[in-house]
Amino acid sequence: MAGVPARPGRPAGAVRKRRLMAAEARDLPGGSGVDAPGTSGGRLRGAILAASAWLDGHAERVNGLNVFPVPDGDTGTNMSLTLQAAADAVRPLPGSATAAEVARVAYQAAMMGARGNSGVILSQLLRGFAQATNGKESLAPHDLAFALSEASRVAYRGVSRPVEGTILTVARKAAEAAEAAARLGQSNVEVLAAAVLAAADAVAETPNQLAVLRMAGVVDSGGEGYRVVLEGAWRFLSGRDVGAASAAASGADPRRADLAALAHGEGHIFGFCTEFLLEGCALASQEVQAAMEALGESVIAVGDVEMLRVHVHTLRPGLALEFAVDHGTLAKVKIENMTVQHREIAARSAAAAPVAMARPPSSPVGTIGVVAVVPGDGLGQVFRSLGAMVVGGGQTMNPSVQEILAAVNGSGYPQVVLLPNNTNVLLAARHAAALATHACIDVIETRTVPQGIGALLAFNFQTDLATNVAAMTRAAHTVRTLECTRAVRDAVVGDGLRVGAGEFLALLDGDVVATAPTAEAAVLEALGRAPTASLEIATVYYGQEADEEAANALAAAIRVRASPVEVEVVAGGQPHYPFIVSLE
Amino acid sequence: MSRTGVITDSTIDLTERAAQVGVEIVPLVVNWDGETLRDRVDISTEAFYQRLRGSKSMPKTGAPSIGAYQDAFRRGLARHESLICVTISSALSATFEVARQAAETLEPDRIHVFDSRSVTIAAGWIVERAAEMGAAGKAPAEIQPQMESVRERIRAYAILDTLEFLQRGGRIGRAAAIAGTLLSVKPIILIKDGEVHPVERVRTVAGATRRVVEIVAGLAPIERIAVMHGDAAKNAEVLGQQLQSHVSGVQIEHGEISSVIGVHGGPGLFGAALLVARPG
Repeated sequence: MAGVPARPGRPAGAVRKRRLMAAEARDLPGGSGVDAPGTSGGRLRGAILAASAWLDGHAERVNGLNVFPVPDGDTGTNMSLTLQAAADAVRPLPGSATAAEVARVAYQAAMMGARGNSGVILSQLLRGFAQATNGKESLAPHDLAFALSEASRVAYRGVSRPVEGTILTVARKAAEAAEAAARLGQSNVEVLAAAVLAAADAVAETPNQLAVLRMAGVVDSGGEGYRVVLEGAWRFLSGRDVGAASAAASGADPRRADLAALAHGEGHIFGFCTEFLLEGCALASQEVQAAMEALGESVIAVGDVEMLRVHVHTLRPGLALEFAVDHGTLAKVKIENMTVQHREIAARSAAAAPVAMARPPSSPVGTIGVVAVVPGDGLGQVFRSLGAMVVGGGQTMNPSVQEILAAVNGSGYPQVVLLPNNTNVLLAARHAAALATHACIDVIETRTVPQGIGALLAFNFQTDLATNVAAMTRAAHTVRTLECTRAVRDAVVGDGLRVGAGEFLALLDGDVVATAPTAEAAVLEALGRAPTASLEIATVYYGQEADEEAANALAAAIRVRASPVEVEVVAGGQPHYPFIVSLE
Repeated sequence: MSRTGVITDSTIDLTERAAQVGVEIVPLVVNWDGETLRDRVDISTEAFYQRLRGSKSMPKTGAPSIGAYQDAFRRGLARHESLICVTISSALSATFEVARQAAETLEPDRIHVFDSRSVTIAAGWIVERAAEMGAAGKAPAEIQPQMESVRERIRAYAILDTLEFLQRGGRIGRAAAIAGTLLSVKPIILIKDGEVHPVERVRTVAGATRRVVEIVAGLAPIERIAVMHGDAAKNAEVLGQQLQSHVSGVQIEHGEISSVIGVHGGPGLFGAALLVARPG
């Protein structure tokens, strides 16, 4: 009886019964009818919360799916923080909110909280989902499938050069499977299950589509992140746990905190844990339950007219008490302010690399300001000393769209030039530029810190924004960047270069061109690949993992190799990259 | 004898033509280790930079005294019907105020004090125009609009070795925006409308020279151009050579950055002064 399509004219009841039977007969989970007849706003909210918790449990593992065997993978963290922004925003919505409202709130929060390219694409997926759910109170299976398809379409449109073998492919294949399942008359849970399975297949396929993945021996991190999101939502709708223990069992880092209870409402959420006894309440416990569900989560209402015990996690404990007082006699009231575990986690990640907020200059010269995203304290100071306002790039955390926007809007300048200085910040920078209200923003697509410094140095105080953007862009392109970092695993990189764990890779303008047992040797070998005929000045920025002595030694070696050339040493303090060298 | 005599101060270069006509220079002073040295009189420019490089103490500068201007005005009034006194930018020195006050004490109707809003040879082109017209028998009322026209069109670009001297002397103005960089850069500043403005920062002298040439080329057509330096002859020569190809038809003049400007700009300063053909 598998896969019987709903034909027009069939009575709805018969279709549902057939679906239930079909599901029971099938191996696919989730056929218990937990979610019939449609996903309400309240259930959608729960799904988002669960997906966020589930993704958080898997973030470390996704971080590890880095193409370069380097320690600064951040896709998992970026996507998790982005989805958390959405979860935080939908959490306080009442259980009576429509699916459209929940989706819209989720998208808007994700858009502002988007970090890194993967976070931005995730926010675009939510955008498509929200657009498709517009006006709908709840989602029937074909609505859900359509929403996943729209999500995929909008995400593709949001990327100027879509590449197959990435999250986009996974989103597309998941949506296609969802549509097929919906056409077969399956339930929401089944539709989502089909999406998850198709996503898993697509993720496994990605190394066949992208050579870099194949060589690095990993699947696409963004794609895997999206699969995890879909899986978390499915787990919720099918009544499964999304707790840390389960995440660990499914391969996640067990040290991540347990956010599972959020989705099931059994744990601690932001708000007040409110409990009371109600005597002489004429309402049935189910009625009280429904009333409390409109106020919050984790609702328990048990008992009878003699004694009703009520428990709810709510932001408005006063409303719960007022309701109680209207319907009986209150006794034994207990209200506790809950601390939020996930806020602690976010604080810990943020504390690892504090996001230095841009400080507007006390008396701006001219009408054009420069805002730069910069990792590391020393580099931040260099940029500030050159007159830019700095948004911290963070350790493995890229700034969110909101953080960039706050810096730009609060800069005190009506016109701002924005320097992302990292390929993983480009999308967020573009989005911030599109959303800015207080300033007109131009993004110079700098992909490395040295390019950013080159652009910043080309800033001319006497000319207009357009001329400056042209000059700064040109300057950024004339700077060559050498970066050196340690490999965390054995790998084949670049053009078939082998590197052992603990050895060093050197990149020239983003491409791996050299490997060596020491950082210095890697840099010098990469230098040999760079055109040094017109080189006038090289600057060695040493990071947290190197020191001034080593930097000076490297500088001396560069002076000899590329003579005649000026070489300067600057304390950059950047994480993960002991040496970043700019060549001008 | 010129109907209108011209007086200027020592921060402004006399062009050949102006020197031929005859222009009196009132010197500013450099106060150094207890000595008061009149700019270009008591200390030559060469001696100044030599001493600056080796000195532990920082010299300070001062405007001429009212008395010095009164003397110069009295001498001038004895020989000319009227006097025009051109001074260094009032935003950079008290000299303009002192000259004005000196004029007030004598015959303000016959002495016209004019704020060049500039310095060095750029301001010297204003002096030259005034001197030539004065020698041709023009009165201040006729000369004034001409001086204003030149003043509108002069620009002075300088590449500094460091902004430290400008900062210490308090003349850094808006160029404070580019001070204090943690990277070694060569700042390019502009003197325009009487004040110091930041232009750009470039990593190397060679790069900064190229940029100034580009900027100058962008300001074409150019009526007059001069290269000047403070103890940076070689760099100035390179700049002059590169500029030549962009300003064919115009002779490149030479300016001197004497001790008073040197105190504020620091050794190693070099740049170009321009008189653009069209204002704006």
